[in-house]
Amino acid sequence: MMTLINLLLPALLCTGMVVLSYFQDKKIFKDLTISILRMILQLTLLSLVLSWIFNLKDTKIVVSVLLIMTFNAAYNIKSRIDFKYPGLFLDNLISLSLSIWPLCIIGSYSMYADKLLDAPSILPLMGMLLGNSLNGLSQGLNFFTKKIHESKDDVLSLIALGATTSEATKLLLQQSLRYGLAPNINAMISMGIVTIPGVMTGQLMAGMSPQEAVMIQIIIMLLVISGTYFGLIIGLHLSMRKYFNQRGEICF
Amino acid sequence: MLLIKNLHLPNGIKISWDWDGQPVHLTGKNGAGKSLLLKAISSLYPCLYDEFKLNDIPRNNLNPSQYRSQIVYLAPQISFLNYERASDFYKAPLQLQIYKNHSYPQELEQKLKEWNILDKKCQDLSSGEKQILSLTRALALKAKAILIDEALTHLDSARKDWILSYMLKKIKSHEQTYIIVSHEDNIHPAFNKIDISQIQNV
Repeated sequence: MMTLINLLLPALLCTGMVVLSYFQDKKIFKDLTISILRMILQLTLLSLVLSWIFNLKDTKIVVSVLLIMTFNAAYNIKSRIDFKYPGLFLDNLISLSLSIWPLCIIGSYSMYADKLLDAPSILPLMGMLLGNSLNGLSQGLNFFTKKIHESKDDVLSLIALGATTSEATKLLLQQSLRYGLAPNINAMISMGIVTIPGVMTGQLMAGMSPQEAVMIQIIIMLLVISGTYFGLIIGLHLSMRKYFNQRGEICF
Repeated sequence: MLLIKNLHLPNGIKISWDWDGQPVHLTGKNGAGKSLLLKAISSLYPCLYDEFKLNDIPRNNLNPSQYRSQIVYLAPQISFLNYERASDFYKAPLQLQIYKNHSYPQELEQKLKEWNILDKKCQDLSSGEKQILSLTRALALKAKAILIDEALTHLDSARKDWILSYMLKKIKSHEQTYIIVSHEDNIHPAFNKIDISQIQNV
């Protein structure tokens, strides 16, 4: 059982770090202080909200929370993209709903078949999937929307020769996909050799056997990479529609 | 060949033009909309118009890729960033679905080899070499009309003469026709000089 006493030593260490940062750089001090306080506040609130939801055991509430999480993720992706276009939020919502929701249900079924929509099983899973997809999608889409403006002449010269929009943007789409998937690919490469992933660490600390913890981690990573991949594919194709009309004419 | 009625260009100018397919030297002051007109003709940007027909067929009834492969637009400067060698750039269109069974005329490839352009790395090409390569690539395609937007400006006289003589051969055999945007006084007597203000709606 964790108590506030357990937090004391890490908190003291962190206070020392913040005090040290004050004498080094005021900006780092400010950023550190705000982010640490924000993190503590957010996680404390999260624990209260989760306890409330877990106790209610109401599927409607669980689905509502999943929806709020998805809307929030879609909004966050939008805010991280430099070249925004009308309908970007809706595109993000569609790509997340079509990629993450089915994967979350599959994942929940694979791990906890008997309690598919139970809040303690599905909410953390959705959080992980959305969080990872959010990073991949925002990086991939940001790269695409920025590069398509920079390479407008390249795209135009190919379209002018008779290329379809998919042919003219093929290279750009491939690069964006690679860019969006890179964080997850790098994480998977180092996993187990350089790092012990967060979920597995949590499970091990909670007393689960390493074999079982590894199994859950593998399932989660497979879902995360698939979710990011499908989310990116859908997101990139939806944003393509904003840059070209049905006749393949350039609209930006 | 091309019938345009009340084509609205993004700069606010409206154009009506019944182009019979004879080669044209399009002139006009800066900002008059020459490039915009060429891009609109080759359907690169959405434009409003009352009528737009290619060989009596409404443009909207034609497959966009096929239409653009028939009326090719050549920009003044083309990016070579995605290509390592000049030959990669030259042969790139052959990867497109629309040119699946197309092969380039030997004459053009031989000339590029003679000028020692094809084996060069793109980063080593001069502006003139880049321009001749883009022009040759456009000429090698199966287009019925090529819209050349100030793409002769960096050429030396020998290469320009050769390109023009190649174009004239194609015009004579009715294989290809051209609209060239240029600020030169005269390109060649075979080209009808038209000022954009002549086809502008008053």
